[in-house]
Amino acid sequence: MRVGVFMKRVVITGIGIIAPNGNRKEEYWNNLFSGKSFIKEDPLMVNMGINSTVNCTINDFNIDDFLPKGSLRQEAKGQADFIQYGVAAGVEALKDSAISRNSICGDDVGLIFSSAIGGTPTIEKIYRDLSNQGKNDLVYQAVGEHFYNAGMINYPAILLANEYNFTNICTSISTGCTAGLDAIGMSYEAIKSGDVKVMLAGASEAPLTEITYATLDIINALSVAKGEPHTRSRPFDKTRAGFVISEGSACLVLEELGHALARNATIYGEVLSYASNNNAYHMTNLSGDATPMVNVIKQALTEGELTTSDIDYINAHGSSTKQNDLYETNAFKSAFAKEAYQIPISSTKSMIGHSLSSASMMGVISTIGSFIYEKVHPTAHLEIADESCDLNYVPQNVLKKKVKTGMVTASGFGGIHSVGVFRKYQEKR
Amino acid sequence: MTKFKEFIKQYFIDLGIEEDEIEDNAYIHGDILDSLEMVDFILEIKKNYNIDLEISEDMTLGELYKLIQKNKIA
Amino acid sequence: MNKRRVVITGVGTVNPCGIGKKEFWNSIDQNISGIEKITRFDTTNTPIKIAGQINDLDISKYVVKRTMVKTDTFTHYALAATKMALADAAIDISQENSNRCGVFIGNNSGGWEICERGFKELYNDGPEYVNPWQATAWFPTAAQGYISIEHGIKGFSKTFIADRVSGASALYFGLQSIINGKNDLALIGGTEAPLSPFGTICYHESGELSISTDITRASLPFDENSTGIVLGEGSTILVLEEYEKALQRKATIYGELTGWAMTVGNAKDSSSLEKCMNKALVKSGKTSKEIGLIVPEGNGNVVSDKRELTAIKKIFGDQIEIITPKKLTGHLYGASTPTDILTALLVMQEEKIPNSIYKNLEYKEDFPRQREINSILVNASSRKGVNLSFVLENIN
Repeated sequence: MRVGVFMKRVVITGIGIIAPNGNRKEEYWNNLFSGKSFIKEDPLMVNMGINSTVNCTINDFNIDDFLPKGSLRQEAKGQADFIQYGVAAGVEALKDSAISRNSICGDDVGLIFSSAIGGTPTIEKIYRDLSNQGKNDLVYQAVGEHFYNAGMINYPAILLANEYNFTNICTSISTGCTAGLDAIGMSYEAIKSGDVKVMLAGASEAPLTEITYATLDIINALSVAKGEPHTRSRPFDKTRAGFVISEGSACLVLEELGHALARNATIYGEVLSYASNNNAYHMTNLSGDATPMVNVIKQALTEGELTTSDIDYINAHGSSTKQNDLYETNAFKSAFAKEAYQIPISSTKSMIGHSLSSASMMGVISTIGSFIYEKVHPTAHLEIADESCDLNYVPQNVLKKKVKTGMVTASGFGGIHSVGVFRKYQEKR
Repeated sequence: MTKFKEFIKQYFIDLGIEEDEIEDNAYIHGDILDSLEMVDFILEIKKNYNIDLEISEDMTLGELYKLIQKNKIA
Repeated sequence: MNKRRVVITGVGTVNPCGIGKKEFWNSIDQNISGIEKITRFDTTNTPIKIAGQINDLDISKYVVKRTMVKTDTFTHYALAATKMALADAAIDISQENSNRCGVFIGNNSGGWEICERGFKELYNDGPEYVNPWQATAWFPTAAQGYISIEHGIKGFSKTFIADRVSGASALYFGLQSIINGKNDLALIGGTEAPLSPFGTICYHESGELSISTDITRASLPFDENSTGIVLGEGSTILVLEEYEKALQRKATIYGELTGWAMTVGNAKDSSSLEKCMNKALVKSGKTSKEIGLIVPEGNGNVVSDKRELTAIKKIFGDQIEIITPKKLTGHLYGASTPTDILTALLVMQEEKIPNSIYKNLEYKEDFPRQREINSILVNASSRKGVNLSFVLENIN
């Protein structure tokens, strides 16, 4: 049953982002449109002697810059990095949305957060501390609550709920590299169902530590592309050779349209639809034909009552691995037919690498940037055409274009595909 | 060489591969193993024989045996 | 269009009190505890000495070898429970239903054995010797991934990490995926396997666990002498199905989920939990008087238990009856709420309140154990104040 008139509309009214190319949204967008890569060689990776030696890091992060003095700051400070990033992005998004502790009815607000691997660096450090640098069996010493919290992906959400007195739903998901988009999609559905009016959807990732590098390097997932370090994330390029691991956090305030209008909130865009499925094929490999991803794209279009010609931009997963970029290209060709060649497609990961859960949420923020600035950010370092990847990936240079409706795609370990469709806000849908 | 063949066969069986799939003319990557299993396979050979094998996409099990024999690795 | 309804048509469990629903029921009915001295590993240098431990599980009966070697124990448990649940529901995942079937799993902390293995390989042998399964076996979504692959499940699916309410979160969103029409069928549950040196240290650091060595006095929900939560392991998976679809295929229906709610609030104050239970009651259209039994969070943590008791008394008075399965299994974290739901379903089916886990607010020596119970409330609450409540009804 689809009765458009009565259907609740869901809009985005707040943005918080902690990314390698900017700890504020304006800085993030400016750097994206300039096509600048923030990927660098990492001395630790070089020292480990693994195949990949580049990553992309958050710089100059200090939680004091985001949180006022008080119990939340105090509590967050002792926790794993992903918790600090998540809380900071959450506070930033709420501030951006002009929501404070008493400005809104707490019963109307819920939270869904996400992370792929939570506080892995903290857990690794504790393992080393308790095992004489990994040499011996573990011997217990008191560590403190932050150990348990490092694994609790719902911790940023809980801290924010308590600080702002939000009392509706509060949970977190761990669906790897689709999780950020999933948090948005599930928040959107919660609002649509009428259970909640405002949702804080978050994703936070701080995976940069030895075990992560070793784990992903051994299975040839990380980039071994040649050339200058900053060019080694090369989505859709013929010489692409794996993804560049990165970190960062993003948060969005999602809100029922009537609620947003009533409080005069700034509206950045509208969530039109969300779909997600499993390919039920393999934990990491993708099948030759891209049917599972085609299905989820079609499902998202149907759900949003859209046709392929409505989509005028795609922010792709574009991880820069051989198999993903080809698979995704084939999925776009199959789902969009001839139109696939017309739609500009770009990968944010070409400049800031792949921050697992939060990457897809950053992709949504990139798309919002396109609504605002009427530009599509480039896929950086797409220099050598791959005859199998022959769509319009906006290579190297920014494209001036009025984007009205953007699709964001994500795929991840476990065989999960997710798609969201977003639209520049207009009164009449 | 017989020992090496036995090692390989036992490795496959320990991984849960059916014996009738382990044929000399089978492609190692694809017919017998998936990409993650390939990594493990190469790692196990490295641990046991101290060699870094490069197994191309289209190498059969028989061709691996020949390569090992030719280079007198085992 | 009629409102969609969700029923439970299959159950599977591996937990300290039994492999499969029959063994589990028998244990809770006969007061056979699954809590024992940890034998899985040497606990000399680690703080937790007793736990709800699974013994005698032949995992090869449920998981093919090729999957087994690449996965951690928490995924083994989930695959075993899934297989049992699908068999119990007598349903096959096929071309026709696979796109509208989902998997919703609660898991707190992924694979501890694979985690320790990876660190050992990294630090003892070097990064080039880390096993290639690490990336797909450690993270909590591994269970969802392998279940979807093993059974060809392609519909909307998600995995939740939310402390003691991970499994309850999976149930909340999974059942709504059916209500909202995204799925017609869903495998919903949780899994946890924290019994390793590093895993038990991690849970210990939450500050909520019992370090008691006395298995008879360790897991004491709602007892003022309780020493804290006893850790447990296992998995419970439930088959949830859209009511009409279940009727069409003449499925055996264990019960219907008619009410559900989630709130968050202060973890010491009971008001957010009260609100949660009231919301679930309103959703189900039941009054507090119509609820025959409660399966609470009741975990043996004194603060959490006191808070819950206050909330329950406010809504239900002090005559309501309570059963606490965690007394015999320990806290299964990701798998706890699914196991509590299973317990509730078995109570309805057997028309019997198991004496061993019975807890009345006003203690009565004699009470009619054998009786029909048609509505049961199940609670879950996390250490930092997230609450979930579900109302189950017997519709047979």
